[in-house]
Amino acid sequence: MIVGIDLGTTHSLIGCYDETGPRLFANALGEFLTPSVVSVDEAGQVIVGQPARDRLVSHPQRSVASFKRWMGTSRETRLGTHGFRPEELSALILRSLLSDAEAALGEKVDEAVISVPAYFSDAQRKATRAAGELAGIRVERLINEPTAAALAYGLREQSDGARFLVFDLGGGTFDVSVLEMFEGVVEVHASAGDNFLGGEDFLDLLEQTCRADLKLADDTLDASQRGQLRRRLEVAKRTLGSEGHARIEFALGDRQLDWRIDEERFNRLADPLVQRMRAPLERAMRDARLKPEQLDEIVLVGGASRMPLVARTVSRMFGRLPLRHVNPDQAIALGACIAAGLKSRDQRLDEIILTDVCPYSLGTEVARRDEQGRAVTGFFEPVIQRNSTVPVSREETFWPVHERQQQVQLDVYQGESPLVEKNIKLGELTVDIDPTLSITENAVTVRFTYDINGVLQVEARVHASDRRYELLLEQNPGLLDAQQIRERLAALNDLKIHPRGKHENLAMLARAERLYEEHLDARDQLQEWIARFRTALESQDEAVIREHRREFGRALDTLESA
Amino acid sequence: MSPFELLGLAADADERAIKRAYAQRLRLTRPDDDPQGFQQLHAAYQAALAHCRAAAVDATAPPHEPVREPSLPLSSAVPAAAGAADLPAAIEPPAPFRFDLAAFCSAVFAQASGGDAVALQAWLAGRQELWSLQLKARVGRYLLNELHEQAPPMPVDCMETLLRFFDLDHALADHDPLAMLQLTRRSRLAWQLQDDDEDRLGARLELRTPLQRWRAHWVLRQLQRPFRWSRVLWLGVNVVVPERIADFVAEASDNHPEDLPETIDRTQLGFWLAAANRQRVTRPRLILGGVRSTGMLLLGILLAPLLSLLCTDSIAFRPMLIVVGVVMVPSALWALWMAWSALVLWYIEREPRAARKFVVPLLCAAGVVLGAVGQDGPGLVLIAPALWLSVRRYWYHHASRYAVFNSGYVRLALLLAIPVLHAVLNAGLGADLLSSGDVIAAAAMLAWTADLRRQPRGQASVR
Repeated sequence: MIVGIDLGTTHSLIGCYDETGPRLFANALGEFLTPSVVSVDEAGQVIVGQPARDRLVSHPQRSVASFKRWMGTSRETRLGTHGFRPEELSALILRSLLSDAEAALGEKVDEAVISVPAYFSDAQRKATRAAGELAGIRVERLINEPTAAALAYGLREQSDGARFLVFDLGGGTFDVSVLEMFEGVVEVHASAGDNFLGGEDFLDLLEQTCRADLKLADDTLDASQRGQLRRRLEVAKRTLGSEGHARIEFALGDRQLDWRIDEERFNRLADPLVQRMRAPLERAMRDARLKPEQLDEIVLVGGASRMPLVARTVSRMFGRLPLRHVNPDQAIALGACIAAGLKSRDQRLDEIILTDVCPYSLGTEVARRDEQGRAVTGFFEPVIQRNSTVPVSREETFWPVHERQQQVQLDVYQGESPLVEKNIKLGELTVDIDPTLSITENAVTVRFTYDINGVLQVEARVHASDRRYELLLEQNPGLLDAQQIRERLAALNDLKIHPRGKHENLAMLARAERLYEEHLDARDQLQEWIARFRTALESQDEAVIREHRREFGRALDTLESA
Repeated sequence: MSPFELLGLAADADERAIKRAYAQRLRLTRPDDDPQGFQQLHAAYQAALAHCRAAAVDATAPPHEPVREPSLPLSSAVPAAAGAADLPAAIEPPAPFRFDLAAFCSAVFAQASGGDAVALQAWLAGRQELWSLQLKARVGRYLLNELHEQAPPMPVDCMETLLRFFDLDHALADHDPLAMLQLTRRSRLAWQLQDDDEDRLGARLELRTPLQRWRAHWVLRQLQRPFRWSRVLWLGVNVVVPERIADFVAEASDNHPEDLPETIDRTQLGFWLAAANRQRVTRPRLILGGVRSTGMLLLGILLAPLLSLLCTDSIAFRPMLIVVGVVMVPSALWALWMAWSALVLWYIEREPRAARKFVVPLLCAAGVVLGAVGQDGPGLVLIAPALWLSVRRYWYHHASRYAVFNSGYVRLALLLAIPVLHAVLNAGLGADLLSSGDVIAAAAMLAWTADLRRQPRGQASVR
């Protein structure tokens, strides 16, 4: 069985494609959205999802969120006694999602299509694949998030012959894709994005402003209090969008906080972030060679696209408002499910073919001759231009810089700057040439092949000797190699995961513990409730526990809404 | 096979037909099953579409569009009404207004010349009309053209901000990266070397000590003046002046003096750079050397009577002789050195042709003949330079292979080897059969032959 997974910065979803079309699976708490948060309790058990999110407030040292932003780096997070890399944290989320899917399907899931931001780099994509392996599944395909959203949207609307732009502002990443659908072909024309721009940045902005206003310096808040503040601000951010102003009023430690902000001020503060959305939009439109009026629709997806200022930004740039809101939280996951269906060659999707692009340029470092004939090094020569439809294979011919040069070094880079120093180096290939030949006789042809799974292969052929060299960029510095993945997989398998059947109880306790931190005045009450619930749990009588849980939940609802 | 044939279409197929044909064939060559076939199909599809669109443009567009439009009519670019969460149904059509490209460019350049990249970024972000995608793209093209034409003064970070804002600094922007580097340099130099007071100039050049600032200011002032022989000769008497000017220019311009701003007098600049160039025997070098020698001579003549007054010796002209000698010997040595450098440079740097090719053999032959008739000394005087020239030339053209020979010590050793060899051969047994001149001449001819065997090669073409 192949499933589709949206592995998001703040939330993740899982589903599959069946006779009813794309179908999402609910988690143990009955929700489609599983917060991408991991926590480890005192017993060393791993907790994932909503309870872990509550534990961000009650156990900030043992919980972590937003780790998708660290994918492709070797940063380790300590939770309790165990250090986790971002791939491992993602793998824990994936395992939790997979157990939900297996519970719903009643069969083992072994393959998945995972969505990634279109502008994810080579290293970030490889880290996502590694996360899949660590979760014990084969990652059949990575699908770009805006493409997935477009698949879900386009198939639902049956829009034939339509060109549209998908604007995907998620929790941590921003992507733009321009697509066209015709005759069952979903063709991506261009993608662009910013891997460090998302809803979390707007929340950071609110937090900074609030703390500056209230003179809450870094050292006056502990991690738990900061978690409380952010939770309230998250709510305020939503209220701000719907009502035009927001107010937070609560006790933080021994201080009574009261802070308000209106939309006008928020817009002014957020302007630098809004400005950052402009460049990817402009670039995607230019690379797609489309004029704004040639677009039929502009589709907004991603939770953060609900902010009114996003719609305003887009309409300002395109001079019109054919904006479509699809269910912003689910569109990508539904698209990933369709992609899974496509991958398994589902008969119902036989008419659909998807072609995507490589969103960044790939090339080598070259020297150029200036007017005086001097060789100037450090220039980037793209071999595969960004937004080429994949699979793609291109070749270029290069010559040595100096006479009697014995080797040509091909440094492989990814990026858009004309100068290599501003791009990302992926690897290098050294080619031996015959130093007795003249420069013109010493041509080296370099072929870059980028396949549908995002694996780059670089081949070089020396014309004179017809010798061939090959570089397969499977491994990047800082990423796990196959051996390390096996070791980490064994280590992860030793971790105790909180059993899925007990998830509701766990969620209830985590929520109560969070409220204990947040409500100073109700602590005695909460302590008593928690103790009572624990006693009920010890009875191991499912009926008693269910009854208690319902009551407990109602009591907590009342407390929180007060 | 033409793209249309590959898609199974007639050459006049419209866009819709092309897409339908592509979609049908795509089902047979899916990108994940047949990457090769898919790439061919996709390339054909793109080519057919491009052909079809080009034809459509030819048919509908006016014969030619003016390249530069000083102002653009604007109709749709407008900041949308600030609004609530639910989106307004339509935007109110604004009164059409014209966007003045030239005025915009001068405003941008004025802002950038302030040197504050953050302020420039904020200013650009605040330009409401540039929210429109199409207008921004057109402004970007126009601006790039103006940048290349005017190279307006601005520091590097302002240039980067500007290029980034209009997205002109990426590898696919289709302009020569070398030209962009040059543009950045020209603009930076124009900004750094504005006519200004010492402190602000020093700050722009990031010079710390007051002495550095004073020198930079002094050099800049000299370079901005029109070229006058009297002043140049007067300044050039001081041996350090040409170097100071050349060092300043090299450092400020990253060895690209051609990119210095227009305010700098080119004759003046050329003169000083030539005067400081030790690699070449140039007219400014010779002139300044001559002036210095003459100056010293005149000084000597002036000082001699004073010296003779102090001197108790009755012969009054002896101090004068000393002074003149002291002046003349270095001058003569300097002149000799210049002539020799000229000969070496003339000989080693270019391909040997006609006269140049036969300098070494002629010198050797003359030297050997002289040696044969018993004039060993004068013979050596001819042969030693021949060896020096041939070996230098060989090294010069094989520098990358024999890097060790570029060292000055090795050259000195070679120079010393000649008299040593001479002495050894004179004292030893071989003196009757072989004179040292013959040995050296043979070595010179060997180096000369080795160099001739080296084939001239074509110029490098590097992308």
